[in-house]
Amino acid sequence: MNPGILRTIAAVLVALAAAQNARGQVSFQSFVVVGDSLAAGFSSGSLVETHQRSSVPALVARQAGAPSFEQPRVTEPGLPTELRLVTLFPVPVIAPKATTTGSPANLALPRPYNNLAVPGATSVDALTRVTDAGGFHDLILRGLGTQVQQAAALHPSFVLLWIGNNDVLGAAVRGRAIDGVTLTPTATFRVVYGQIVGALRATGAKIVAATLPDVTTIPFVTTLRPVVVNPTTGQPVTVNGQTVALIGPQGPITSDTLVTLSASSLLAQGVGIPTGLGGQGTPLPDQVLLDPSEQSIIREHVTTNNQSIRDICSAAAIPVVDVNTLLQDVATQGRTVGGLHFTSAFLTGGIFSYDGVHPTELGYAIVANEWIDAINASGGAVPLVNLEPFVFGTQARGVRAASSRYTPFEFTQNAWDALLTVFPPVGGR
Amino acid sequence: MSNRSHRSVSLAALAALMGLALAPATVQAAGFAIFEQGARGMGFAGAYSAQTSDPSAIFHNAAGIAFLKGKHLYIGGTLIAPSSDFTGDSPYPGAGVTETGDSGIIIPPAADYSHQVSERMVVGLGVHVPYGLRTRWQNRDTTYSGRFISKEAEVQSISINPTVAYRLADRLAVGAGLDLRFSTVSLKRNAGAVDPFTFGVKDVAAVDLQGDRSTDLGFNLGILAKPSDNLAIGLSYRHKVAADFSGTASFTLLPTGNPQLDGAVAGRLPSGDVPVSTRIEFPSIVEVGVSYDFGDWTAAADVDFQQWSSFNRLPLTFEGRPDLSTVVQEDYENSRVYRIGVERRIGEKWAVRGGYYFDESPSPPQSVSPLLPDADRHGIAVGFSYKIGSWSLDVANWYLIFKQRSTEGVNSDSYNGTYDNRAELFAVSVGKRF
Repeated sequence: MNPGILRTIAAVLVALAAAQNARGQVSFQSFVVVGDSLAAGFSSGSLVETHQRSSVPALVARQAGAPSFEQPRVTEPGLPTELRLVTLFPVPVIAPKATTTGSPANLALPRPYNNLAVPGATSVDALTRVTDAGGFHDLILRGLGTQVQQAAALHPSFVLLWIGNNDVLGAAVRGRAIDGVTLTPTATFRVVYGQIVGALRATGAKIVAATLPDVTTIPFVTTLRPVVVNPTTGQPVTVNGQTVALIGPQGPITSDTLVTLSASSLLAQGVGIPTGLGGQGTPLPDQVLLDPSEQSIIREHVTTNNQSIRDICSAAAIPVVDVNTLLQDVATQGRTVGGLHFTSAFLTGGIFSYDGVHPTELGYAIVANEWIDAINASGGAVPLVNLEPFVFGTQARGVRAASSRYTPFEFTQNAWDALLTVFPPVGGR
Repeated sequence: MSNRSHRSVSLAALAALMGLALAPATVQAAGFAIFEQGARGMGFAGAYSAQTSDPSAIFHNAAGIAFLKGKHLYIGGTLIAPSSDFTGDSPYPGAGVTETGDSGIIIPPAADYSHQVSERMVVGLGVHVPYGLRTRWQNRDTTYSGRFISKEAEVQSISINPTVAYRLADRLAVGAGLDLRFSTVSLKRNAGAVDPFTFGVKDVAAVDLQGDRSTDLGFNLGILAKPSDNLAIGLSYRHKVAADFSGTASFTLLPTGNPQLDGAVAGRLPSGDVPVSTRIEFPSIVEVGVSYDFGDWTAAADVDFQQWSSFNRLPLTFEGRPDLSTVVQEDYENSRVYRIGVERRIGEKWAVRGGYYFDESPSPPQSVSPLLPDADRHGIAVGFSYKIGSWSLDVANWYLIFKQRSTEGVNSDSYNGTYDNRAELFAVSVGKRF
């Protein structure tokens, strides 16, 4: 062969190697994501490209210089329609921002998307599900195989694996902790997670995984109190110096019961409020309440599944981003950025979006930096995401009057219905 | 789940966002000590605790004035022009972000008087500014990225220092003084809140904290020995002074353009003045020095031990508003300063001096902030004197070379980057013997 050509080939190889070294020993040439709504960049009850741009994988891929990173983009106003804050006064009202939905922007991409994360997907779904009768699986997987199969088809050099949240999260959102219905049995999760890791390892890709958050620390379940609250002051109503418990299926609920945001539209109608305080005296349904036993069932699942994730990943030398500890930390200490303090408080904390479950863009950017830290700790050299644009934000606002009597928030029935589409029952499809 | 009440008040977090983060900022000695107390001593780079030639010894070593015959007056000031450039890191405020410190010019004065009252006893009075700092950042009310931490900070401590010194023997003296300290503090920053309509932070208030003058008492002690005609050894101690400030924090609400958010902020933040208190412990300092004369030359060396560990926390207590109150952890460490200087006398009238010092920053990286972007520094001193009869004129210049100081990604406000400080100091003192 012509030595000139050989020299050119050698030079190209050296340049390619150098390009790879610029991001450390990890190659992001083929960057693939297996996951659920959190990895998809779901925010404010919606999958919409304005937020997908700031999904954790999109930010990590951008920082890592991953080429042609494609996500299944959905146009404004999103799918389901993105939620917005309608008004703060007299009580905050959250509702879909339009009566239409967005549509897929790049459905014809002639190859699998790099970000294969499907909102609502459980670990079992990631491994086995191809279709879901017109839902997110069909939108994102397009009949080309399961998440794991399509990931392998992309010959990944790097896999961001963030699955398992829906194996526990649905129970909190639905206010019901039933093993096999709203919760994947922990033994099943361990087996399935091991199979996912095994299949992805077989591709030879570098994999980074994550733990599951304790879902009882998200604003969706920590915002409302178990007592009657004066919406004007935000303070509990007292009778003879005592707070007044909301009414549940078994009568007054205990002070350690968590009331989910989905109770707010019922509270606004007087449901769960004693007649003596002007309410209807009818009970809140069980699906808006998490009693202590439900909380402990969810927590046990999170703990056990996280141990499974650690065991499986440790055996496969896969770094694990501790999202659980991160969100615990945010819930208890908050996060300081440039002297500003962000918390997991609903609406005002800056970390969680209008659905009370999924992060804001700032929240995702903070999480993305945790992934980058983990990647860099195992040989990567990826620059951190600059948080400044996320701190000051660019989302539009809208103001309209509304009123409500008994709740410090109104999370409209539409908002609630939209959120449920992302949390289908684990065993019910 | 504990403490549910915290989470469930709508907009309660707005208040939490308004917590203040305040602490003082620096000019020329590490931390915020000021060592510029006379142009002659500055010509020696501050290696002056074993020297006895003018009454600025009241500051450096009270025993020193015991060797001054008759009456001496020594008055001067130092013109200080500090500046600081900041280059940000990701994640905040972001790689490539630059900010410029604009502290203006500071002129701390120094005046000392000594009066021999008997063969062995000399009394004196000094007025000094032993601690002071000012940091001020450009575009601080608009685009400056550190405005939620500190836009402007000023701390000033004036010392009135009556002193008595006594020669126990011809070559051995002790001295002691009362250190009456008048201190003020002023700190300005913005408060931000998340706009729940956009999830973007808005500037919702400008907070201006003024601590009224705090009057506090400390003391200083010194011993100075001259084992031979040529050699002098000094040891001095200045006790720490804790200043308890009370004052007011004035809140000026800034319209965000969203009346609903403005209403929520107005319901959570005070408008106008709130009583506030804080406390700063100015550290104690030990100086150890030697000085040696040979012919027309004098050489001197000192080591200062600064007990900055006393500056470990800065509490900001808003009366009746525990939601706004906070404690800033500073966690300063004790530090040392090494000083050497030489003087060459030329005839009866002239003398020239030069010196060098190295000043360790007491600030751990997490406390390096726009309030006090402290850094290790090298100081190069040059100076001269001119005498006419009983009058003397001393002039000195300090050129400070700061090490670049990185927050190492661990700043406690998550405001990370590298500070490049500069300062040049020019001092003039006039002396008169009576």
